[in-house]
Amino acid sequence: MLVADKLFKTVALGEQNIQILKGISLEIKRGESIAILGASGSGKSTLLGLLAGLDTATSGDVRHNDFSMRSADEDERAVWRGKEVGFIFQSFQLLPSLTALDNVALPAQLSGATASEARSLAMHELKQVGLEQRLQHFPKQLSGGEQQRVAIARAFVTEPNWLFADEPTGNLDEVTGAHVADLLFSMTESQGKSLILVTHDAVLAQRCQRVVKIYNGVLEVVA
Amino acid sequence: MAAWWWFAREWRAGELHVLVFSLALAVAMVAGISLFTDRLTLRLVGESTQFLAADTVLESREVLDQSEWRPKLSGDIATAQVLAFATMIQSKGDGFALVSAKAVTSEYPLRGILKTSATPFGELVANESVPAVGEVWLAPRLFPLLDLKLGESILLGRATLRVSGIIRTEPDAGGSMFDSAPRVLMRFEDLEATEVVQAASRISYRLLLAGSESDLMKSRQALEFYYQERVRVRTVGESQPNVAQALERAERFLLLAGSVGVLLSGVAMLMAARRFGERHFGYVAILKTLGATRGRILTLYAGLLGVVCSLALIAGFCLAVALELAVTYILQDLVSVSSDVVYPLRPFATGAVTLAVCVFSFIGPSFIRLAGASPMRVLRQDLTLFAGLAPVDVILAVSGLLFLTQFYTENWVLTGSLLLALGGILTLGLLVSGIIFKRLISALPARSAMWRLASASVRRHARTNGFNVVMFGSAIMLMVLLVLVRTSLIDQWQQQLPDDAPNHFVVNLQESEVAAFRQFLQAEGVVSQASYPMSRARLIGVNAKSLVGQEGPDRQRETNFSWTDKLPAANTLRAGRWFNDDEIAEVSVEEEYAQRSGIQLGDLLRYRIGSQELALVVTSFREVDWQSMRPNFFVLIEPSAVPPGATTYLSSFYLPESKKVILNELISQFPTLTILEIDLIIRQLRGIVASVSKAVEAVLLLIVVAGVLVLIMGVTGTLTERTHENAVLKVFGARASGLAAAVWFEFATIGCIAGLLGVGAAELATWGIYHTMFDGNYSGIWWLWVLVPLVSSFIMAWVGWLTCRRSVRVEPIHALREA
Repeated sequence: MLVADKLFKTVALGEQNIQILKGISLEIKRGESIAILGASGSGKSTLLGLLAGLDTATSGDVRHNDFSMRSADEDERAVWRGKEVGFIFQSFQLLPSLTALDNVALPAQLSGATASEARSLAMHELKQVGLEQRLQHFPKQLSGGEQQRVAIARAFVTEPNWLFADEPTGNLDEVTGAHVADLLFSMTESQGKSLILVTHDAVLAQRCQRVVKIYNGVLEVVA
Repeated sequence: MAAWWWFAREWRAGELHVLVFSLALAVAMVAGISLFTDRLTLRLVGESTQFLAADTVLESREVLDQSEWRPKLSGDIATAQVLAFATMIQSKGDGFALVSAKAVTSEYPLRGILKTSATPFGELVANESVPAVGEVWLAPRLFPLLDLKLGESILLGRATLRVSGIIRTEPDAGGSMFDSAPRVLMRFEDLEATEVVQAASRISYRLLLAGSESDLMKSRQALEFYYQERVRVRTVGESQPNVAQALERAERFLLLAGSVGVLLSGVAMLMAARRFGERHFGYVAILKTLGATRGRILTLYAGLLGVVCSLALIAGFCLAVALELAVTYILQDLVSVSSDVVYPLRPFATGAVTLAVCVFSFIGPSFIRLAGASPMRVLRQDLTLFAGLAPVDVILAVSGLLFLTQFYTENWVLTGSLLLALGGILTLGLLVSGIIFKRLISALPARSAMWRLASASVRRHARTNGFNVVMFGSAIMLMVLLVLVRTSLIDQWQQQLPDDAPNHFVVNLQESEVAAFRQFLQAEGVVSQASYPMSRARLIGVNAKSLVGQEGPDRQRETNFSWTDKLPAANTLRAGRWFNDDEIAEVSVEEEYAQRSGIQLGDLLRYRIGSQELALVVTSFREVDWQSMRPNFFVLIEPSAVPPGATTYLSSFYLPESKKVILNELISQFPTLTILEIDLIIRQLRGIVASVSKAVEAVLLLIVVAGVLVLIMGVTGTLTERTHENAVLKVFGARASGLAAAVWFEFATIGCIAGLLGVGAAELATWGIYHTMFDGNYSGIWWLWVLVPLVSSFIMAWVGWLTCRRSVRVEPIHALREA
C-alpha cells in the first residue's frame, strides 16, 4: 500500500509563496490503477512527484509499508525508487547520448546488474514493446511513439511495483497515443503492477480502476 | 557503468568537446608559455653568463690547489683558472708601465669569446684561443705608450714574454672595467717563471666552472662546504648589473604574461563547467529518478571527469609543445634552437598543477552541485542548477585563481593586483550591467518596434548578459593590461638605449686633460657626455671594527667612488636622505652593494684614500638604473668630505664603428687614458629588449585565442534559448530584420560596457604593477577609454551575430517542434 497522509506543498515562485497542495490524503493498493485528473496548474504533477519520492512535502508524509518519504533522505528515496518505481514522462526523458538498448539497460545497471545482465533484460523489455529491431538507434532516430515505447520498456526493466506515468500520451497524436496507452495498460495489468497515471485526458483516465481529481490543491474522488 | 563507456557516449553526442577543449587550452597555454619563457630565459641567462666567462665563478684571494678542488667536482664540469694582479712591465726601450695582468689557463673563457685585433683599435676579431705559453696579449694603449710592436718582447717580473696579440675585449671584464691599468693577458703556466706572485701577494683568483645545472649545483655546494669563507661565488648581478637588471625585468614581464594566460584559462573553464552542469542537470534528474544515489552520481561523474582530464592533459601537452616549437621557429633569430632538445619537467608540472587546481576550483563545484540536483527537474523544467553565483563557488574560484597566479608568478604584489582588478570588475560589472540592462535601456523611449524588440531582448537576458559583461570585461582587462605594460616597458627601455647611446667610457682622465679631451672629440665630430670625478678608496673599517689582513670580501674593500652635490640622474633614493651641508661627512651607497657588504644606514665607514683616512656616515641608500648606461657609482661621497689630492675623471661618448680609428690618436695624445668599449653590453641589452618584445607578442597571440574562446562560449551558451524565443516571436509577427537588430544591439551593448570596465580595471592594474614591479610611472591613456569600448562593441556585436544568426533565421515551426 502507498499512503499519502495530509500532504501540503508550498513552493516559492519569485517573491510569492504558492500553496500547491492543501492537505491531500490518498491510499493506493498494490496492483491498483488510479488516474489523477486535473487542469493545468492544479498540482497533479506535484502530487505525482511526492508520491514517487522525487520531492518532499512541506508537511504530511508518503509511506510505503514501513518506508517513510519524510524521514528518508534523498539517497534513501533514490534506493527505494530504484527498487520499487518505474516512471514514464510526457517528454519521454530518454538520454540522447544513449541508444535505445542502453537507455533501457540503465536502471538495471543502477540497481546492481552487470552490463551483460542489464543488456539481456533490456533486450527482453524492448521485445515486449515491439522494438527489437531498433536496439542501436538513438532517441533522435526514433519517432515520438517509439521513444515512449522505449521509455515504457525502461520503466519495466527493474520489475518495479509502482508505475508512475505523467501525461504519457501528452506529446503524441491520437493514434499513437492510443497504442502507447494500450501497451502501458496491458503490461501493467499482466504483471500485476500498480499504475498511478496523471492526465488531463478524461477518456484515458476512465481506463483506470479509480479516478481522483485535483482542483485547487484539493482532492476529489470521481470514480 | 564504466567511465570510458560513459565518456564515449557523451563524446559522440558532442557534449564534452567544449569542456575538453577549454581544459586542454588552459594546460597548453600555461605549459606552452612556461616552456617558451624557460627556453628564452635559458638563452638570455646563457648569454649573460658570458659576462662571467663561465656558468659559475668562485673567487678567492689565494690560488686554490687543483688537487683539492678537482675531486669535488661532479659530472662533466669544464674548468678554467684565472689569476689577476697588478704589476709592472718593461719594454726593450726601458719603458715601464703599470698593468693589470691576467693569467689564464688554456680553457679560458668557458663562456663568451675573446676579441682581438691585428692593430691597436683595429677591426675586432673573435678569438677562440688564448696566448700560447711564453706569449702575452696587450691592451691597445700599451703599444703607443711603450713604443711596442707585435713580435717584440716585454719583461714581466723575471720572465721575458713575446707580444703576440692585441687584446680588445674579454667577456668577464665587468668587475675590472674601471681599473685604470691596461690589460696584459698571459698564460697561467708562465706565472712561476715571472716570480711575481708570492705567498703574501695581493691577487684575485677565480675558478671558472661550466656544465649542467645539476652538476654545477653539486660542485658548487661541495666546494663552498670545503673552502668555507675562503671562496665566494661571483654573480652576473655583480659583474654586469645592467644586464642582470634587464634580465630580471624581462622575466617579471614574461611571468606577468603567463599569469594573464592562467587567469583567462580559468575564466574559460568556469564558463565551460557551468554550461556542462546546466546541460547535465536533466540527465542527473533522470538518473536519480531511476534510482541513482548521490554517491553513485558522484562516482559516475568523477570517472567521467577523470577521463576528460586525462585527455585534456595529453592534448594540452601536445599542443604546448607544438606552440613552443612554432613560436621558437618564428623567433629563431632570438631563441637558439639546439638539436639537443631537452624538455624540462617544470612547464609540464605547471600544466598538470594548473589542471588539478582548475578542476578543483572551477569544475568541481559544478559537478558536486550536479550530485545534489533535485530529481524534480524531470517534472519541472523551470528548475535550474545555478541560481546565480553561490558564495562557495565564488570562494573556490577566487582561491583557485589566487593559487594559480601565485604559483606561477611567485609574486604576491602581482597576484594581488591582478585579482583585485578582477574582483573590481566582478562587483562593478554585475552592478552596472544590472542597472543598465534591467532599468536604463527599458526606460529609454521606445521609438519603433525594432527598438522595442531590442530593448526587450536585452532585458530578457539581463542576468546572462550581466555574467557575460563580467567575463568579457575580465578578458578585455587582461589583454589591455598586457599590451599597456608591454608597450610602456618597451618604450621606456628603448628611450634609455637610443641608437646614439654612449658606447665608450673613458677612465683615468686627468683634471688638466678634461678640456683638451673635449676639444679633441669635438674636432672629430664626436659629442662627449658630462665628466664625473672619480677616485679609488679602500675600506678599512666599519663602525668600531677594523678590517685587517684578508678580512672581508676583497671586492667590497677596494672601490671606485665619485662625489657630487646633486643626486645623479638614473639614481633614486631608497632610504635615508641626500647630502645636506652639515658637519657630518656623508656617504651614499648603492642598495644592492650595501646588502652584499652588510652595510646599514648610520654605519660609520672608514676609508683609506692614498695616505689619508676618511670617516663617513652612511646617510642614504640609492637604487641605480644600470640600464641607463650612464656612468654610475656604488659609492658617492659628499664633495666637502673628499680630501684634496689626485682626482681623475670618467666620461663617455658615442663613437660609430666608422670612426673607431680615432681611438689610436686619442691614446697617443692622452696616454694615461683607459678606454672601455661597451658596444657588446649595449648590443646585449638591445637583444634582451627585442627578445622580450617578440616573446610577449607571441604570448599575447595565445591569450587572444583564449579570449576569443571565452567570447564564443559565452555567446553559444544561450543559443538554444534564443532560437526558441525567436521562433515564438516570429509566430507573433516579429521579422528577421528586427530580431537581427536586437542581436546586434544587445551584443554591442555588452561589448561597450565590458570594454569600459575592462579598460578601467586595466589602467588601475597597470598603475599598480608599474609602481611595484617595474619602478616606473604610469599616468593613463585617455584615448583607450574611447577606443577599447568601440572596438569591443564592434567585435562583440560581430561575434554575437555570427554565433546567433542561425537563431534569427530559423523557421518558427522547426523551433517549436524541437521545444
